[in-house]
Amino acid sequence: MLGGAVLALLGACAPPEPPAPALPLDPRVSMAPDVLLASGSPLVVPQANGLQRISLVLANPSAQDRPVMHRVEWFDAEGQPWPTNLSSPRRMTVPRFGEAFVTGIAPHARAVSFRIVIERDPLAPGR
Amino acid sequence: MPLPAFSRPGSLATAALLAVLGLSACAENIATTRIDPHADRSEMGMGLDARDFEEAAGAAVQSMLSSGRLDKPSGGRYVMAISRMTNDTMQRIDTDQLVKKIRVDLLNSGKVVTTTAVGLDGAEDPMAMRARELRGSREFSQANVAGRGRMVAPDLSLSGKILQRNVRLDGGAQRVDYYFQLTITEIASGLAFWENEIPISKRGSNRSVSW
Repeated sequence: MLGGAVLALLGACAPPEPPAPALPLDPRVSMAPDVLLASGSPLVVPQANGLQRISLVLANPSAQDRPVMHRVEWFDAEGQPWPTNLSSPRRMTVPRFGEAFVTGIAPHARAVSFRIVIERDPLAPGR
Repeated sequence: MPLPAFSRPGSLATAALLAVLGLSACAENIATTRIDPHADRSEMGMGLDARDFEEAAGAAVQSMLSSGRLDKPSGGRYVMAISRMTNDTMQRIDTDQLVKKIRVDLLNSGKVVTTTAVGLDGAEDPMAMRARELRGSREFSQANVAGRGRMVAPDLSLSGKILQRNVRLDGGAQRVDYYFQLTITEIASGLAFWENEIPISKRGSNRSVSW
């Protein structure tokens, strides 16, 4: 009983864990819950040739590098997926206390919408 | 003097057999399964696999389209021929694993179309020239035989090289760096229209092979 009381007191004195970064609210960004990165809304820049260029910044507030896999999926005006090697998954490491950018370009002028998917790299060391 | 029990030939053979049976019983039984290329979680080797070619091709096409160099000033599409693609790695690679992916994406972008009638070692598809041998043949309707002067010469040429460099690291590890070097040349001027190098690096055990 005394031991339990001591443990309860020690637990009460323990510093609280830092809150996990909030999941992105932009529906165009799909981030797995275990990625633990912060991001905003993607920047969309239409080019003169009709192709959209996109950019999304990922921020890592933790003290550990975060290896992730990301891909950009493209859709036409009807919401149908646009198959392209531009949507192939790519590996990236967001450095500790740093930022990294996910960039992409539309495979065709008719690929007008997109979704950025970010998940933890399943083959990274220490997984 | 009789031999000790452990040195008798019969007992040694029995012990060896039991050891082999025991080890085989512990061996992992790996069943054959299909891999979904869109969700490939399989282990990675030190050599190049399909995922690496996809990543390299995607990065190359993204760079090509982002550069704006493939936007033809007069509108329409550029015609591209495939030139020398060198494999400078220790692996047996068909460079078409990279080139075909690039061609497909460029075609689907509406910016570039590839000619199969002109190639470094002859036409990729000789049928375009072969079909022209039907001119004048009375067996074939000449209405849909390809006429003279209809083939389109290429404006651009795609060439490149895949390099490999191995480096031994401390602690029994090794690093392999692959470089996908690509160039698009404007045939009329002979100038490099677009260039890029896509690196893919891997780190693994010294016991893994990259050939």
